[in-house]
Amino acid sequence: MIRPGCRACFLLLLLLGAAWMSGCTSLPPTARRDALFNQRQYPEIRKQAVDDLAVLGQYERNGRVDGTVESATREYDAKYFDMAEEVRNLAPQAYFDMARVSLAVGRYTDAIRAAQNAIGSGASFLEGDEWVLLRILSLRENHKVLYESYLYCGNLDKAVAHHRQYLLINDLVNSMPFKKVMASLLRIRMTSMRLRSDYLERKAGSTRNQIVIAALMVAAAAGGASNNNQHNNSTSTLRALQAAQMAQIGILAIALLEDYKQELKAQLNIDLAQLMRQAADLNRLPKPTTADIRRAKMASGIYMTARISNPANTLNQAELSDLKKQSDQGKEMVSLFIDKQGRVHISGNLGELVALSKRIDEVPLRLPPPPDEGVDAYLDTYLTPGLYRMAGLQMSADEKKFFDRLVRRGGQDFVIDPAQAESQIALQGLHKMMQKTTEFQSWIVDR
Amino acid sequence: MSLFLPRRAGLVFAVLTGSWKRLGWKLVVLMSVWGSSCAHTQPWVEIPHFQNTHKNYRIGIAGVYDVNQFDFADVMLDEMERRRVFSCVELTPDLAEPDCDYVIRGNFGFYQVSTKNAFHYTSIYFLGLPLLLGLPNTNSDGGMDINFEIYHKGELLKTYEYRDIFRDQRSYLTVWPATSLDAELRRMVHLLLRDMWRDLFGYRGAA
Amino acid sequence: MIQRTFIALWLVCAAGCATNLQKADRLMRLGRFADARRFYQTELDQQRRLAELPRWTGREYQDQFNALNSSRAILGVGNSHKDEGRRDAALYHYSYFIQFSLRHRLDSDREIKAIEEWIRDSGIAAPATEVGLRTLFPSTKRVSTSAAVSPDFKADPPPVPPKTVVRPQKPEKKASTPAASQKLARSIDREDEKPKKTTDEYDNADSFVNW
Repeated sequence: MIRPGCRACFLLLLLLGAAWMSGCTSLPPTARRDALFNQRQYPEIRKQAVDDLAVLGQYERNGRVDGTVESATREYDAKYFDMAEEVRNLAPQAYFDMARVSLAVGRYTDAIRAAQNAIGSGASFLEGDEWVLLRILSLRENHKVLYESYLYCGNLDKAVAHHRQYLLINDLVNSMPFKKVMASLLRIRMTSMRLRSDYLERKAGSTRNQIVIAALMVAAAAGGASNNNQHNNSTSTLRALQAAQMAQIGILAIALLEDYKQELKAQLNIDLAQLMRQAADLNRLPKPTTADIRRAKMASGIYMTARISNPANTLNQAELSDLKKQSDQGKEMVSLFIDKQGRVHISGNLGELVALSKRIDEVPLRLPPPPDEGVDAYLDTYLTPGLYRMAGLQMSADEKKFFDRLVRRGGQDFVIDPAQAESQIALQGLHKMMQKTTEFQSWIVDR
Repeated sequence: MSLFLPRRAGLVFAVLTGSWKRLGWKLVVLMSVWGSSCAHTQPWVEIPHFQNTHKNYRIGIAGVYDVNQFDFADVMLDEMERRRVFSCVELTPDLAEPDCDYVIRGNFGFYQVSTKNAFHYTSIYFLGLPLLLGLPNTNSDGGMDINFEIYHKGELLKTYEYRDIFRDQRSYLTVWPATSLDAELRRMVHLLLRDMWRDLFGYRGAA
Repeated sequence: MIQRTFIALWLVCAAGCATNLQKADRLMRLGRFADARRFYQTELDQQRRLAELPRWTGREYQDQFNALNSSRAILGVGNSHKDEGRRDAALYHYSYFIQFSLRHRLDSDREIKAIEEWIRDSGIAAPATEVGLRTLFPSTKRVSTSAAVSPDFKADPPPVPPKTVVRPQKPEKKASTPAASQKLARSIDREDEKPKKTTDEYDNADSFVNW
């Protein structure tokens, strides 16, 4: 029979084991938000990202990082290469996480701002040669976010410029010289992690030995002073050894990374630092060309969908005319009035507006398939900035549910009180529907 | 049977049965729970919905290279053939291969390092004895960054990037193999297939 | 004496009569291509396994594969396919070999020239291995007239005297994509090419090398 004490012990250990099995708890802190993103837990990501951004105050000007840095989740000792990587990447990664969450929920201006902040903070915290891998990967993913966000905001020029930067950096990451950089940096990262772990293990062993010695000599009063000396000597020897190993990593890093500059210069004739400076200089990106615009449009989700669409499902002329007629009446479907208390009064046929909005949402999904030849003409005709703006104004699931409920309730007059929790959803949804109708009207004119 | 055993032997018999057996099973369950945790940021995607899509596509693989330019295309080929997603998957160096509908090229970086965790450091103070119970003491930290390029008739159509960071907890009693490059690559291939299905074949089921 | 003989015998048995590469080369000379390929592939698999993760030396992680042996194994697999008449497989491994040599800066000019001659003589279409986005990078050979090249990137003059290279003829391909102007810019500037230096031999769209 198991005693109650043992039973409680085992239950506790079982719980610990279950916690271990849950997976997320055992991931490194920097990776936790990646896992949450894949699980679409966006509010939690925002919260953790904001917590991480709070460490900015610990940095000196120009992003110098020294000594120990405390974030919301753990403590980082910047003398270890892998920890220094993580702590320098805290701010850029936090901004990027906020950017991709905003992109995922359709808040494109927020995504643009966050991605720009990520690139800016990367420029200051990841400036040195040894952080080039992190910086390049950060630039690549942020330029991709910027491309998609600008695209669905309808700013084609900026979207294309960012898409070009994304392709350029993608190309660089796959190049031979950069692979040498990546291999070196991965080895350095692994070495740092292993050395730190070995040091902590030796330190624990040394401390244990000291405790054992002290316990054995506890009866001898004279052992007190000499114990301290031995402990200090042992600890300081360990520290000296570790300092030497960390210095070795530093030398290793510089020696290994020096090669890449020669390689890049010889094979690609580019200066990596200059390339990254240019990629981070968001106000002076190169002007996109026709080929860049074509590539950017063909990489978009709308084009991908059109490629594989069923021709039988394409919007025909009759449907388009019908939609055009409906959208012409769109502005008259509902009227808005704001009273003295700030409440928004909607009167009119909201149901029709919601139905029209749903039909307009289908337009980007029911384009004719692109031809094999003459893709440019197709892109210019159908994939205009207006269409992307239309597609970017898709209502969220909450907004759809809200308006469906409202329409089911029936009636011609509704009042939205900004003080209520759902007012934001209502106002944003309304704005999207009306804006979408306007965009569709301008898009349909040429078709 | 216990009726014929002397009294002291009965006590011994009780040790081997009943409560100690239950204790033993609990320990086994606990150890397996401890030893089996493995966390990834990317999920393992099952691909049952591929069964109903048209499989008339010929896919070429132009190489899946690691940072040292070793080619792991055979792993990707094997995984794609196992899933029976496409009618034909072949190795080709030609990004504009006329016989293939899409050609895929991949480049990745992978690292994995074993470090000790707090349980190990604490166990040092107990002369390592708790570790004999199967307490996980080793973190196998690692990550893979992979970039796939999809080419259609020589034109770059789309790129897909995935990053998986993982931590594998292991004890001295863990018998199954740790996370490996092979397993990670297959995980990435599943993600690629999921996204290719969404973007290139999708719910339209184009032929 | 007996002890030394025993040690020598033991060493010989432990090392085997030859390495995988030596055995494979011997079998190639005998014309047993499938068996040779097996040994080359064994060597390549071993090197690949060693390269998967660096080895911990106690002070740092170090790469533990032999790049030269790996390249010889890759080339050997390609040669065995070529000698058996499997052109596609041979081409794949030759492409792999060239990329591997470039990555590790191995001196494989002779072998690469032989491969190019074989491609030229057998009339195979040189496969397109270029990413196609290389005009986004400045290069020593580029005159920077393409509209796809950013005017901000300036090409520096080549540091060594360039060499003329004979390129294999690329047969005409049926246009399965939109018009030539829409092809990614790997074909741009071909007419403007200046003679290239050694490393640039493999930077051209006509070569099936991916830098």
